[in-house]
Amino acid sequence: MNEDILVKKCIEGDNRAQKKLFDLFAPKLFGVCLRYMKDHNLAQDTLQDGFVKIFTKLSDYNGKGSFEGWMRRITVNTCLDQLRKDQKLKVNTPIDDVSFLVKDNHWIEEELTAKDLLKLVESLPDGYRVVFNMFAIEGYSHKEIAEQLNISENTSKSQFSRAKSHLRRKLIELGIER
Amino acid sequence: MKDKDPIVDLFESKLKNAEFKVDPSVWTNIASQIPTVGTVTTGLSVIAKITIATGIITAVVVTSVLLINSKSEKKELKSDKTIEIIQVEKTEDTVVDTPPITNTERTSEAPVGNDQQTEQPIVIDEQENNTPVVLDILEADSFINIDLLVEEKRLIDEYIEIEETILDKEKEVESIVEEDLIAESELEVEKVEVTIPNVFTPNNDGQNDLYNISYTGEMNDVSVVIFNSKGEIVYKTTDPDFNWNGRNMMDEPCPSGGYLLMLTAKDLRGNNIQESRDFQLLR
Repeated sequence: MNEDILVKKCIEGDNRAQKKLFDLFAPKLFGVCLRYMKDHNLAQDTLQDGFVKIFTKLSDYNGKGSFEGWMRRITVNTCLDQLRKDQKLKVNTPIDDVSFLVKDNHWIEEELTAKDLLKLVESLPDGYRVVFNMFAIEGYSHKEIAEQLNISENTSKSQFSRAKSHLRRKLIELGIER
Repeated sequence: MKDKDPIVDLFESKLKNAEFKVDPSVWTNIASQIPTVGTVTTGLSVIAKITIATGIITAVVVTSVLLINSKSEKKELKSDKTIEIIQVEKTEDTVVDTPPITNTERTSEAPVGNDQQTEQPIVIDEQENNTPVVLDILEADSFINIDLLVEEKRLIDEYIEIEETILDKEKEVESIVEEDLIAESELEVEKVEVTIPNVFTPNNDGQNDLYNISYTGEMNDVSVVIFNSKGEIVYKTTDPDFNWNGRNMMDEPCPSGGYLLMLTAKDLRGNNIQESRDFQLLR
């Protein structure tokens, strides 16, 4: 499937092409939303908003860099906007707020699946989760994160390291040595 | 710099490109918010670009011909510069290679527009005498005129050729895209995936107080049964969107411990779905 042709058709408004583009990338971008939004329904809403943005801004995509990367950035920004709106980016959420107990016998025997790890990420408080996602998975620098979230670079670093130690603890609880 | 941490590695490798089932309602909502035109005839924009580009080239060529003509008619020495520029710009600069005209004593006026195809023998009409400088310019002009016209024709031919190849290519790719799109739309029935949580805390703290499952797609003939560790049925329903409050059939609160949920259903194609999962009830 030719990506350029598909994008071109989408810009022209061919709804089958738009559906196709959605089908191609929605599952992956939904993964992004789920990591940032914690709540399944909220993630779904954000995915929806993100895609509307993608489709309306499609003609602005200049063809430079990866198309998927471009869509991913829009999706991440939509998530951040939503979190900002919900005032969820307040830092210093106590780590004890985590309520979902992650405990499953299968995990020890089998390979950890993306879903399992997502649950761990979801278990992080909002501030930690966003920083961890941006730094560890999307590959933003602490400087970029600080600018985006309007926090200091040091806060970003400490949030990241706390998120990491929290995840490490969870993994050890699950019996996975890392 | 990013430290290569095993934890970061683990999460990055597993989650960066992880894909998750998206509810079809999301697409319905998006489709209602973006402009669509149904099926449209496509494939014009690239050709349009080439048409414009060729148009511009042709226009530039014609304009320069006219410009040079008008200037040379006025016998302006300035046109010497224009010629030089055009010669530099032309990739196939035949003016330089053209053998000089032997008839240097007379002014030459090329038959512009009359004899577009001929490249070599130029009919030279005898006209008024001019100063040698102007004569030089006029000679160069006539060559450029013919040269540019030939060049123009060649460009048009080339353009037609390019256009045809592009049309073929576009058609090819488009038919593949079409086939793809048609094939996709036939596969609309969504796979049912059920997610059953593994912990349940009915202690009225506002979190995980009700036990329910989430699923994608559509299910028919749903039956959900929850057993306690003794194998007794504590809850039974046919509603996939149920919310269990942690009380047994006699409306007594169930104690903490291990429970088992069994779900049977049929998807839209009539295939059987069977899911079972043990979970912890914690008070």
